[in-house]
Amino acid sequence: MKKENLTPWLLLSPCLLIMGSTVFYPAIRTFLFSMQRYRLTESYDIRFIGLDNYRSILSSPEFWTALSNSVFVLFFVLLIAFPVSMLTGLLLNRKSPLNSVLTAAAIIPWALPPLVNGILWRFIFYPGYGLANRILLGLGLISAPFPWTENRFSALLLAALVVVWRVIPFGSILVLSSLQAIPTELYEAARVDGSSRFQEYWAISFPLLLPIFPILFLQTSMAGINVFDELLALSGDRYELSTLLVYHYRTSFRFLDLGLGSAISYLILLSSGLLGYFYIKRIGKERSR
Amino acid sequence: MKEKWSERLFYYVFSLLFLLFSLGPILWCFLLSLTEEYELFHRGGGLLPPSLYLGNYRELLDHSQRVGQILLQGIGNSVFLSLLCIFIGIFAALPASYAFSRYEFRGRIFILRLLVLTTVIPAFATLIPLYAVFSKLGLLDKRIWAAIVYVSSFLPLITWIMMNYFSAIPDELYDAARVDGCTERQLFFRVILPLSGPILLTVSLMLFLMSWGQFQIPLILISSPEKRVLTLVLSDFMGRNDVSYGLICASGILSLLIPALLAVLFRNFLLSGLMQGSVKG
Repeated sequence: MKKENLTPWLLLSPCLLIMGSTVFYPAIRTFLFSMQRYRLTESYDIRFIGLDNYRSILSSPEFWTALSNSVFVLFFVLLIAFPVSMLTGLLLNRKSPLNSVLTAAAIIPWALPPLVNGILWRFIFYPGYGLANRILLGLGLISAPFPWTENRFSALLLAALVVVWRVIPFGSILVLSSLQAIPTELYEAARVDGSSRFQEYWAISFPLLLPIFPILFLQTSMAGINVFDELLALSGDRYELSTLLVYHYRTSFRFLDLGLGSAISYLILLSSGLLGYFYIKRIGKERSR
Repeated sequence: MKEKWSERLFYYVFSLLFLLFSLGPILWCFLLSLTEEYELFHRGGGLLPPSLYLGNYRELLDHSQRVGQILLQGIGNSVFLSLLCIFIGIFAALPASYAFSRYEFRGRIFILRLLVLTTVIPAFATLIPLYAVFSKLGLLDKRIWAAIVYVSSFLPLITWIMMNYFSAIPDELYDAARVDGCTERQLFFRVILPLSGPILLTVSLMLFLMSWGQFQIPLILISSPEKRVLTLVLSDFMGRNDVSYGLICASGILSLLIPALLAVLFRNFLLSGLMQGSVKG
């Protein structure tokens, strides 16, 4: 690496300019807004109110509902997507001509707009005669169509499912690709030593998969936290179904209470920042060239 | 390696399930798009429509119909924004990633960490002041500015991936060029840039797909109907009463053709890019 002080900063300038003006500066302004009473509908009355917005948020049932919903979705997404991706990747690990096809199929859910994902699944779980209900009715398991997207619990599970649908195929292929990179000699050597299939997985496959964990975890949790598009497509922005982002959207852009909305933004920023912090702690321990 | 036929069977069955899971919803949407309106709510409906109804597609592809026009406009806007994103994104990320990989300077790790930290933060968290500032400066509803905001959400990831790519280029290459008397600038343009082909392709794909999928940002920053991107158009369709579900499904199928095609064709690039994004230095 070269040691210089001017050139790198020059090279960094477009990047820093964009990030500075669209992320860092707004992040600071959000904080300033959040301490104001700022309703677009009452723009004559903008004043500084300190932490009042935060106080009203923390004492509002709407916030706690949204928070628990968000945590619920994130929890289920991680719970399901992580192990299933790993398992699927392991189970599909073979040098087979099918791999190309599987990869192609798997990457599609990831590549589509999350909104479209929500729409697709809405039609499956449509409260009337969507696919799910049709199958269940046809099999005689239920006697009347089940209102999937009306019920809070099932609607949230559904949102988690949509996110999972995007993450699992993608995660599996990631796992699969990493596994394929493991030289077969390792496995053969193990087999010569008389190890069982299971031991192979445990001692060889698993440890060599560890580098994948961070990106898998990051992509999964990002998808889980950012649930918005899917939820809106699935069931609209109803009060009891809202996750944090939906709650934020409703407050800021429907009720036009920018002060309160900014405070919510900040809470979201802080909590996701915390998550990010754990991720970045490991950066910086790179080798110098 | 001896293989039991039961293992083979299991593999194929499992692969089939995997395919069904990944593509099933799309298949169902496709079937719905070929169904006539009343059939959708028919009580005794089986899984397949009684007859293939092409009316939905005909309506969408008919130039004189409003619906088709709106959809086409949406696709056009999405393409425009995505291409813009690629341009701006690479313009910012290429020099930045080169700087991170090649130079040692004060604040390097700090900036790097800061960038990565912003990856997890939802775009929404900063949209309010952005909206306020944009509206004061009259920048609302201009697609170029929306594109810049798009880029800010992907920039850290893109820079990171490219940085890893550059770091993987062996030192010998740099040294050899130096011995030949190259200046740093010549080095960059004559040696590094030509080598960057694959990663630039990967990064462009990622930028394209990620901007194509954006919904939250355009929702807030773009308002005029003729500038609405595809995701907005689709969500509008969902909320309207005069657009039947078959039509919505047909729109959905048409709109996923482009990203699906790109993703499938270039899946290897995408995967290698994302895997590189997980390597730390």
